[in-house]
Amino acid sequence: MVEVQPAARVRQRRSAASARRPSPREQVRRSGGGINRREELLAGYMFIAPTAALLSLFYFVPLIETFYYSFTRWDPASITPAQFIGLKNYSLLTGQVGFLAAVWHTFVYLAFTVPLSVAVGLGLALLLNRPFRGRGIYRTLVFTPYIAPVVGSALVFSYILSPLGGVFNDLLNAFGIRSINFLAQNPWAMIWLIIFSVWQVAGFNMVIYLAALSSVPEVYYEASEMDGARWWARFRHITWPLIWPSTTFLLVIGVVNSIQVFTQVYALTRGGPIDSTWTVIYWIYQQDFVYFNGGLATAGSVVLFLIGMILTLLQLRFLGRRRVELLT
Amino acid sequence: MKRHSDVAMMRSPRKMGRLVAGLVACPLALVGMSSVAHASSSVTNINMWEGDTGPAATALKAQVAGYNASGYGKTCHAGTTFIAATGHEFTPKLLTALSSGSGPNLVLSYSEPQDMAEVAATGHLITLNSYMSKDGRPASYFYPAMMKASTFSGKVYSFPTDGGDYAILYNKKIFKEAGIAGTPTTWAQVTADSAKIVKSVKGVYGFYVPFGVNEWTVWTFESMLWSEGGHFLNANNTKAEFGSSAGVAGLNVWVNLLKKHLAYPSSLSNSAQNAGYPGFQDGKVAMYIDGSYDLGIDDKALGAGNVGVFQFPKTKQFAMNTGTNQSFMLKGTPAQETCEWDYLKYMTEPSVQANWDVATGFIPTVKAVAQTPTYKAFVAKDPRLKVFVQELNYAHTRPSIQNYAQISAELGTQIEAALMQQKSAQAALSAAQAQANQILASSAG
Repeated sequence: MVEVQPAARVRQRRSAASARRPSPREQVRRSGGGINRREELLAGYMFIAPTAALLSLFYFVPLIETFYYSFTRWDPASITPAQFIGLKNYSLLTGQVGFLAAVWHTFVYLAFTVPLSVAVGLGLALLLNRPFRGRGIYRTLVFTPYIAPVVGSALVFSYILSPLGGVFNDLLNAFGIRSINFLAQNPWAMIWLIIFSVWQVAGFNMVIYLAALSSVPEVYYEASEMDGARWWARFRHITWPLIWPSTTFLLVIGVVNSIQVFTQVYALTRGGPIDSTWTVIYWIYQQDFVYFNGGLATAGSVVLFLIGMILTLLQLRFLGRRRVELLT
Repeated sequence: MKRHSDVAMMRSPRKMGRLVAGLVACPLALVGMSSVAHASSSVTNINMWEGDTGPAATALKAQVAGYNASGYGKTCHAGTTFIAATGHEFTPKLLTALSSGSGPNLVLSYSEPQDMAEVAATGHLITLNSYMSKDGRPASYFYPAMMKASTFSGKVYSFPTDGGDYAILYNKKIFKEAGIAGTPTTWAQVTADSAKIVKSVKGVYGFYVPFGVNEWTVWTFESMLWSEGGHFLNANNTKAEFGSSAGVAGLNVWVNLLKKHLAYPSSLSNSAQNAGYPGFQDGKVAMYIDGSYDLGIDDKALGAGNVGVFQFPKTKQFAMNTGTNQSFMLKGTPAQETCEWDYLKYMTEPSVQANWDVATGFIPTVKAVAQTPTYKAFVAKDPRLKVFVQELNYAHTRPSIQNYAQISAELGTQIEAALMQQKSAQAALSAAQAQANQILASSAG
C-alpha cells in the first residue's frame, strides 16, 4: 500500500539533489548581474520601510508602552500622570482581582473550542468534498456564520435560547422540561459560549480543509483502493498526513483567537453568571474601560501576550515536527 | 458610446475645471453660510452629548428648540450630538473624548451617576459652586439625596436632571386571583403574599429578585441594607461595611424567597441585564422592582390599569436609593462656559423640567416641579407616580468615591453567587467586603 513518506526522508533526497545546483546568489554572481550587495540591501530596506514605519507606529510603540504602563499605577481617564510602582500590578494579578479565574475560564474555552471547531470543520469538509447536487449552497450556508457579524449572530442566539419564548426552550417545554436560562446559569453559559464559537468558526475551518483536500493527489487514493484499503485506512494514512499542515495552521490560529475571545462573551453573557465566563480579554476590558485600572489592565495584557507567545511556540515546535511532504 | 455633451466637455478642459471648482465651492459656500448664521451676531455654539432614545429623544429636541428660541438662548446656540452608548458604555466614550480633547461642552442626562467621581477626576469638569450661589440654583433647590450624588470631595460637579428611584410594580390581576386585597409594606408581607400567589396561581412566582452582577443589583440591594440600618461604607469612605449583620439580613430576605421557591429561580435575561420586566410582562412573576420610566411598557403589555405600584417594602425602616441622571459642564472658552451654565439653568427651570418629566416618566429633581400645574395634572392622571416621588423623602444616595464602579461589580458578583445559592449571604458579603477593602486601600495608597 502507498504510504506517504515523512519529511526527513524526502529532505535527505532533496539535499543530495540541491548540492549539485548553484544557489540563487551564486547564479546572480555568475551571470554578472549589475546589482551589488549594498544596493540590493538598500532596495530591500526601501521596500519594507513604509510597512515597518506603520508597524512601529501602530504596533511596536503601543507594545512597548504597554510594557511600561504595566509597571505603573495609571488611570487612563485621569489627568494624573502614571506613577511607577514596580511589580505591584503583577503581584495583584495573582491575588483577589479575578485574573487567575479569567485565565482558567479562557483555557476551558480554548480546550473545547479549538479541537471541536477543527473536528467539525474537518467533518464538514469531508462531507462537502464529495460531489452532489447543491453542494455549493451547503458550503455557502456553512460558511455564512463566519462572515456574519458576531454581535448580530450572538443576539440571534440569545433570542433562540431565551427562557421567555425562545425556540429552544419552547422545544424543551414541549417535552415537559422546564425552561432553562442557558446564558445565565452554570454550566450552561460556558457550554453555549463554546457551541456558539464552534458554530461560528467551523465554516472557515471547512474552507481551509476543502482547499487542503483538493490538493491531495487522487493517484494515492486510486493506488490504495487497488491495495484494498478501506475508508478509514485511506483517511488515516493518506488524507490526514497530507492535510496536517492545514491542521497545524488551524490549531495555531484557533488558539491565538481563543485566548483573545471577547465579543462572544460581551454579547452573550457579559461574563456571567457570577463570573463564570470572564475571559482574560473581558477581564482586561473591565479593568481598563470600566474600572480605569490602566496599570493592572496592561499587566494582564503583558501576561496574555506571553501566554499567547509560549502557546504558539510550543505548537509550532511540536505540531511542526509532523510535517509530511508529497512524494515526487 | 459617449454622448455629444460629454465629448464636448472633455474637449474643453477649462470648462471642466470650472465645473470641478463649482462643485467644490458650493458645499464650502453652504458650510460658510451656516457658520455665518451663528457667528455673525456673536452667537456662541455649544455642543451637548446625549444618549436619549424614544420619547426622551423627542422631548430633548423640544427642550433644545425651546432654549434656542427663548431669552436664555440670545447669545448662545445649543446643538446636540447623539452618543450611541448605553449605561456604562457611555463613560469610556466620554473619557476617551476628553483625553483626546474632542469632548463636548455639556453632557446631558448622564446615566451613570456612580461614575461621576471618575469623570470628575479627569479635571475637565467645571465645578458649579460659584455659579450656584450667585445665580439662583442653591443646593436646596434640588432634592438633597439627588444633590449628594452630584457632590464629590465637597465640590458640586453636576446637576441632577432626571430623577430616578424604584418601587415594587405588581400585577393587579394576579393579586386578585390569589385573593390578596391590599399591598404589602414589609418584606415579611411580600413573602407571605408570594406564598399565596404560588399556591393559587399556577405557573406564577410571587417575586423576581434582581439577579445579575451589574449596578442594578447593587443599587437595589443598598435599600435592603439601609432598611436594616446598615451602612455601605464607614463615615470617611475608607472601609466597606455592607458585610455587616444588617447587610446579611437584607440579602437573606431575597435568598429566602428563592429558597422557598416563591421567587423566580433564575435570571430571565443575561447576567448584565437584570431588568425584571420581561418576566413580569410575560406573566411569570407577580411583583418586581423597577422605576417609573418602565410603567408605560408594562401598561402596554398587561393593559392599562392592571399594573400597580407600591412603596419599596421595609424590614426595619423604609429606605430608598436615588439613581438620578446628571448633567454637567466641561471646560471650554469663557463664552462657551457662560452658555453651558445658561443651558443648565434653563433645563432646571421648574416649568421646563415638568415638561421633561411628563414626557419621559422621570421623577422631578427640582423640588418646585411638584407644585407646577403641568406636573400636578400629570400626577393626578397617574397617581402611581406619587409613590416614587414620596420615596424621595427618605432616600439615600450611593457613595461618591472614585472606585465605586469596581466595588459595585465585586459586590454584584457576590450577591449573585448568594442568590444562586452557591454561597451563603454571609460568605458572599464577607468576600465582597474583603475585596472592597482591598480596592479602597489600593486607591488610598
